[in-house]
Amino acid sequence: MKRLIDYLAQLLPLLLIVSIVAFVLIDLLPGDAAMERVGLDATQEQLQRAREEMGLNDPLPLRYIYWLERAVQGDLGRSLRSGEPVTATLVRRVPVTVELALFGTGLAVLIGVPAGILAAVFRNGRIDAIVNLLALSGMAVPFFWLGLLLIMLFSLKLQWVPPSGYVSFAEDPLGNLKFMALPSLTIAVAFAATLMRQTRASMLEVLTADYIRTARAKGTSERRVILKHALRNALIPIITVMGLQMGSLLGGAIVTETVFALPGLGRMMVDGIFQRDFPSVQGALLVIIIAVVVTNLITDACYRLVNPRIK
Amino acid sequence: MQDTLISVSNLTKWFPSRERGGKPVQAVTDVSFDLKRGEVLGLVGESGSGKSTIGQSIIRLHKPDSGRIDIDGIDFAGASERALRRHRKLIQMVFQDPSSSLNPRIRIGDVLLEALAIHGIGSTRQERRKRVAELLDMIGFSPDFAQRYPHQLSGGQRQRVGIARALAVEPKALIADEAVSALDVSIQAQIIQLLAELRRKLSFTLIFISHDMNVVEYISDRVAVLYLGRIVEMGPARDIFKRPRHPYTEALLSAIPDPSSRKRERIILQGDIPNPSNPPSGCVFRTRCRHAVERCATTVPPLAQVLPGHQSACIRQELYQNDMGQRS
Repeated sequence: MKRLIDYLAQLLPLLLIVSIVAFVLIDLLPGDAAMERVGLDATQEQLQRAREEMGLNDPLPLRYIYWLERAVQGDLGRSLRSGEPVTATLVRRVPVTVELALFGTGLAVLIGVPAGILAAVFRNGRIDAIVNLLALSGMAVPFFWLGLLLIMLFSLKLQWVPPSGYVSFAEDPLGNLKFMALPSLTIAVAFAATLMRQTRASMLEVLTADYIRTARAKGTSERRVILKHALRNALIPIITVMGLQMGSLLGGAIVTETVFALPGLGRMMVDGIFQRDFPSVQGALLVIIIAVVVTNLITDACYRLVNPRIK
Repeated sequence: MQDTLISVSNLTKWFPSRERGGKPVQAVTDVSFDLKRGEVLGLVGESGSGKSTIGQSIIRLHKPDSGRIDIDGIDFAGASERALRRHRKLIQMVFQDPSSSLNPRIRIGDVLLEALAIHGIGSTRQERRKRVAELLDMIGFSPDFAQRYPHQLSGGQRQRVGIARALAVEPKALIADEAVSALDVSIQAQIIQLLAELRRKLSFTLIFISHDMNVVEYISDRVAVLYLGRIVEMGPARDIFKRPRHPYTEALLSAIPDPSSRKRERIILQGDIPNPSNPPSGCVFRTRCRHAVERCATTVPPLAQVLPGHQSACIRQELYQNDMGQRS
């Protein structure tokens, strides 16, 4: 409980700082939301009127304080572009990104951890070399390029899944899975590679431990030695890396959502930045920061679960 | 019950060199001994003498390069991994460092349960739990210790768990590899007492590996002295300690602090134990032996009987001819 309060106490100043930085950066970009709304052919007069209406003529600090005042009351403002309340947009978009992150993480664990175990058990062998090569490539490949390659292969050539778009799981479960398959795989690849490297390293370390020798001397089957005695102890650094990677996973989600036209948080942020729509950007940022902090909390709780010595 | 339980003959284990093309490390060379049921054999020697390698080869943590190991009629050296697992309950090992030898993620009760489950002891979970409680009682723990993790125990308590774990499957033989050297002296005594007591009660055969001569003298029926992976002297514990027939044993014995006698001459060995990748020719001990003569460099001394049941690998037995009485 005390930890939870500690985390929340860290969260507040973090949110404040990030929101100020985001606010200033968007303001520094050439052009503004009013120009986006009235279009390039509008007269100076129309532009001024739009600015007045949108409150863009107030000095920057004042605009920030107005925004903050309402934000602490749970009103994140309206999109400068569509006029829709930001909270309503978030309610639609957060599930998309959460789904992407969950599938991505799930796939990464399913691929990375077993691959890492195999590489450790057969270290310096052929399997190890192949797994390592794949992992290195996985880490080196940029998200957008990998996404495009996957679309070319699975959508255009094999025509197994649609190249882009989205339906919600509630509307059409199978369709949803089809749309999510390639994006999930895209963000899973680099994550799986990192997990594999970490799993391999910590398994190698654990496998030389005295208690592994004890387990073998006891007559424990090799399979059980690896999957129970060793993996359980190797898990802590793996969980740490998973927690740390959540931040970059969300970064990957932004690029991936753009490539696959998924209406998630990442797209919301990218669009918001292009349209100088600061309430939308702020809203998306808020959710992402909270997500990262919550992930750290969960990671912390997992430590306790796998390591009885942390109390 | 005086028949042979463990028979080791011509055991050799050389580890390949780390460097490419390097000479192998001659950890154990041509070691043979038999153990009768219920007998306690002490294996002594300084570090690097091959004591632990012998222990680990016997239970096949290492596959020996050559030689035979028969335990209760089963060929341990040649057995397949699968067959070996089935027979592992014949012989168990207590390891040196009780802290690192226990899996930190597994509760004490589960450590014992797993051993029972692997070897199919106790047909129901209920029965096994009962057996775990008995085992805990045997090492002086209350049943609630089953719920504890290794880090919640002291070093001595962990070694008790190590002993209970090894004895859980009712092995016919136990190897204690430096089982007490990581512990405080006062705790060492308790653990040795426990081992001795359990041995009387359960009458298992014991190979006790140690560099501590006092402890070995206390617990062993017979003692084998190792130097550079070879047995240099072996015989009844009492003979070895009272009338050693090998200069190396003499040196080891003279190093035991003895508060009661001041007159004992200390034999200081010169230099270090030679490189086991490149041992001296002839008698491997000759480079540090105060009695070494030219012949020692050319002749490999056989382990030959010098007294009833007492063998020594030293060609200069004439040194001991006048020494008919006992050592002071």
